[in-house]
Amino acid sequence: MRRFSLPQNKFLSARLSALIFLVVLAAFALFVDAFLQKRQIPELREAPFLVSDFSGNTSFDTALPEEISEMVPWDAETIILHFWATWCPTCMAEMPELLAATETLPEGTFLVMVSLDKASPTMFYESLKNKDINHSIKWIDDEKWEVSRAVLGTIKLPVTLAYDVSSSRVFQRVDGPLEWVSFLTALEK
Amino acid sequence: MKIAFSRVWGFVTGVPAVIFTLLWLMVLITLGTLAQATMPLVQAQQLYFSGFVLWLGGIIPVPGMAMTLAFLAFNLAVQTFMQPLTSKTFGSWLTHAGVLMLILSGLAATVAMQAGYVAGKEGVPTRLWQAEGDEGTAPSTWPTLGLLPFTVTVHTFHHVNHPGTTIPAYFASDVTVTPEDPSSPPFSTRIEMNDPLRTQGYTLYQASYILMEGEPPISILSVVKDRTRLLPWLATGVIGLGLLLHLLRRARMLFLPAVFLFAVAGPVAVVRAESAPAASPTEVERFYLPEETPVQHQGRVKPLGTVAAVIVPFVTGQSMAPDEAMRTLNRWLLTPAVLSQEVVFTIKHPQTVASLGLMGVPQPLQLSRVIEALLPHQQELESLAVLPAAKLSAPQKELLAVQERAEVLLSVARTFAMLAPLGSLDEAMATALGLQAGPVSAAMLLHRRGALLTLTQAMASGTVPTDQDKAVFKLVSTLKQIKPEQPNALLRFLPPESSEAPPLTNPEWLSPWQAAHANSLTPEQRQALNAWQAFIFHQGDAPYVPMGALPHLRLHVEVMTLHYPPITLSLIPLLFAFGFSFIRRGGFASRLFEALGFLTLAVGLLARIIILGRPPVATLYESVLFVAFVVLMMGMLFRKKHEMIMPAALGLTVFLVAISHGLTQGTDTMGMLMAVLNTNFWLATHVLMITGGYGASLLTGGLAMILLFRGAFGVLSRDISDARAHVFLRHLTTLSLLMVAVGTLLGGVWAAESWGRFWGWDPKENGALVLTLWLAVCVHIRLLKPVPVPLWLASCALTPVIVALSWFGVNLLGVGLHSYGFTSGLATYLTLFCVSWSVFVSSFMALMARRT
Repeated sequence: MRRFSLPQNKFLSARLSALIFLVVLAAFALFVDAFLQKRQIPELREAPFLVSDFSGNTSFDTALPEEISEMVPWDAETIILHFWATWCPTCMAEMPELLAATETLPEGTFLVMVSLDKASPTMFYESLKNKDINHSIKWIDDEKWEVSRAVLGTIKLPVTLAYDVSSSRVFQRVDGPLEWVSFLTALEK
Repeated sequence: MKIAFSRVWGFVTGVPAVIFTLLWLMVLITLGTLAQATMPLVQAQQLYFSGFVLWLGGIIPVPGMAMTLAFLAFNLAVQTFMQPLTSKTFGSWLTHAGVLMLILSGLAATVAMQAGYVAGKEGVPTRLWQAEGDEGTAPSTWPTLGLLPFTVTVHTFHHVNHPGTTIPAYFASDVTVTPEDPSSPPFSTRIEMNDPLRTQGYTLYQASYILMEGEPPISILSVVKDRTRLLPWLATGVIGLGLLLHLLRRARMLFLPAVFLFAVAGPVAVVRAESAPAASPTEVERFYLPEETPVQHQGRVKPLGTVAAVIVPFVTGQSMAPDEAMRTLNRWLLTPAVLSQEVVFTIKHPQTVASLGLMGVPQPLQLSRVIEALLPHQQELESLAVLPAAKLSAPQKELLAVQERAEVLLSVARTFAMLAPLGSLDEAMATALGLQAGPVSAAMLLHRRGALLTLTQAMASGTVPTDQDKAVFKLVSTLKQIKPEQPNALLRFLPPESSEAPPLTNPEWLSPWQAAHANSLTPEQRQALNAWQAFIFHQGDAPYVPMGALPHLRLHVEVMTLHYPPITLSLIPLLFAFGFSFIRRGGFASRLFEALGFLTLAVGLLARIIILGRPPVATLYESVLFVAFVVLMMGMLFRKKHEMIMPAALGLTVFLVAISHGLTQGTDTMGMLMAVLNTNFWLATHVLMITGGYGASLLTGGLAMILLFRGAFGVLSRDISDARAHVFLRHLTTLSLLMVAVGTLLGGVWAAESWGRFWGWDPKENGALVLTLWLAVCVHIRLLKPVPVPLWLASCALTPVIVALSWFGVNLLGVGLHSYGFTSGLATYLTLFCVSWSVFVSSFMALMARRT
């Protein structure tokens, strides 16, 4: 049976110094890594061209089309533009999840639903009727595709754009359906 | 109370508790690995590799991975404080502290590390940081983890397969990174396999890609935020150093051999085949292609002799000497007309013969006969071809194989069809087409297809056919007969531009068909095509066959190994040495045969290094050979430690070399590698270490088995006492533990460098970890008081079973990243070996326990 007592001083000091050495080593490794990460500038080369914005221009400052900027309140921080249509099966498939997720839209975030056909909001009025009308969602029927063409260029649905009002730039474009809950949560962060 | 406490304390911190914990870890890992065959990795990981309690079958609660690891960490911490620290125990102390560090760094990583992906569609900027979604779903639907503090735009995604294969050779993304913070400027760089980008605390790795028809490619970058990434490195170093110190302190006699081992392993890793200077054109005397003719086949440039040795036996279904195969291939290539007479096909399966309606037809069969028989089965064959191989019955596989053989033979016969003379041009026609008068080939006509088209259009408008119209008509109809539209890229004889530089270390060659159809050729390719054209027209009286700028040495070495396969030949001296090691141990003859066997095996491995230009450990076949080599080398180094070392090592080597022949599967055993394996540094460190560890473990098992056998039947040692043998076995186990543990951890470091995660619970990783744990158990059993010798010997003797399972067994699951070794038809032998070996071990142990 093992005797439970503090080890003798000689052992203790040797062990402690060895342990302290290892701990210091680990701390040093962490520090060096953090330091290097901060200092490390990846092989800097002049970017051949700037990141293009959604309309294919090389400028970041992009004003929203009037149709959209008009309907968004002045205190909006982030605008999410979602392009969809009733004839797009993928869009319709994700619609229930989208609507459920928008009930907890982050503060300052507005959702603009741009449908590429007519009468889109009425399709959902049935389901929205019994709830308070969500003021953070705006609906646009872009029947003639004018707004969509101006914003997107070529059109392939669904498309979602996230627009930062203060810097007037699109900071995220997603082609295809989304996992909406985690997407909106990420915007809040 | 105090006594009760110290008793509990004694049990909790005692050796049996450690052994049980290690065994339980092994069980957990094994369960989780087996589960991956039926469920996705993420699910298996959640169920078995995380959580404090695991509900077995949903009812029985058992300790989960987190609880087990926590207990192990507690135990290690106690060991670190309680174990007396002297110069003698320093190595052991350091090892335990290192393992503790590793567990703690894992804990730190779960807190401080976040891993996700960026799906970078070409040309679309993105900041979306996502978790991996379900398999087959669009990347846009993957759950979002957050937004990165910078925008990533993939401009160009580079993706290159090995020529003529679908094995990715290289992929990389050219990206522009634009930080959110406007004060830091945007920059562009390239992210490629094994070369990540680190910026703002994030590391971006090239992970994979999605290619869809008609869509821009999507490059999947793995993005990891990890402040603790150096900790596992450090722990790995501490563990390795600790084990090494422990080993050397206890066994000074092992010092020199260990140094020697590392000294040998190092150069083996570093030796790279030097590219010989550009070869001069070779004289050819007759209409015959020599074995050294370079050709690109299945992605690799190899001598034609190797192609013959693979293709001819495959097509004919009969084994053949290299010379005979070469002659046959030459006949098929250069005089394909003989195939209308020649009988080539042997179909063995009676059921296939019957289903093809070939009952009673004498074998071998003519090609035309086989094609006729296959024709009614086209629909069935097409539907079979899309099914996975595992779902096919034996006759179905055979039917597909017959079709493939016929296709390969047709491709071979049509290799030079574009260069064969179609007819002769008179002066007028030649001028009209812009060619020289005399013989003309399909390639020449295709080269001047514009002129030919003008001529045929002119012909259509005329009313009475002139002589020229007739000549044109004849030309076009002969051209149509050889079906120029049917692609053929099996054998690529035309070298590319010699100036093509890395990263494309394996540039694409062209087959004569491809060259004839190419819209533009480089001057070198044009020259090569002309040379081949002359060779075919003049039936070999051409001045030379174009060889291109080639590492000539490789081709010659490969042709030599074709005629004198050193690996196979090494079996002869090894078998003799094995026999002599029993009869006349240590005599001149036994030493001589050992040395011969060792040298031939070494030559075989060296030849592979020269031919492939990388360490010989990247495929399952190669790793078996390398393990055999390591076992033999260790046996020779440690021969004096015990009389049975050499017989055990020789027996294992012969066994391994013999089973390596079962793994060749009718290929030339030198296939191309996946992109991630294309790094000599990690192959040389991680893979050499771990295969060396397998070798040492096998030797440990073999020696333990012999000692167990002796203990069971009371056979007395002739010159060395068993006590000393036990000491040696202990050291050998520690050596195996050192190599396997460090090898496994280095694998983790490699994974961290290439994919951004240290440990991913991949089956192969788990296999190596189970072996490490098992060796740790073997080492710790010695610490029980009193030492249960039979149990200890038995657990050491069981090591080969664990090695076999973690080396071959995990391949049978057919899942995971280490797909280089997926094999079929191995299960039966593996089960047979494991069961019989375990039965022997347990019965010997029982006998030995009764004797003592």
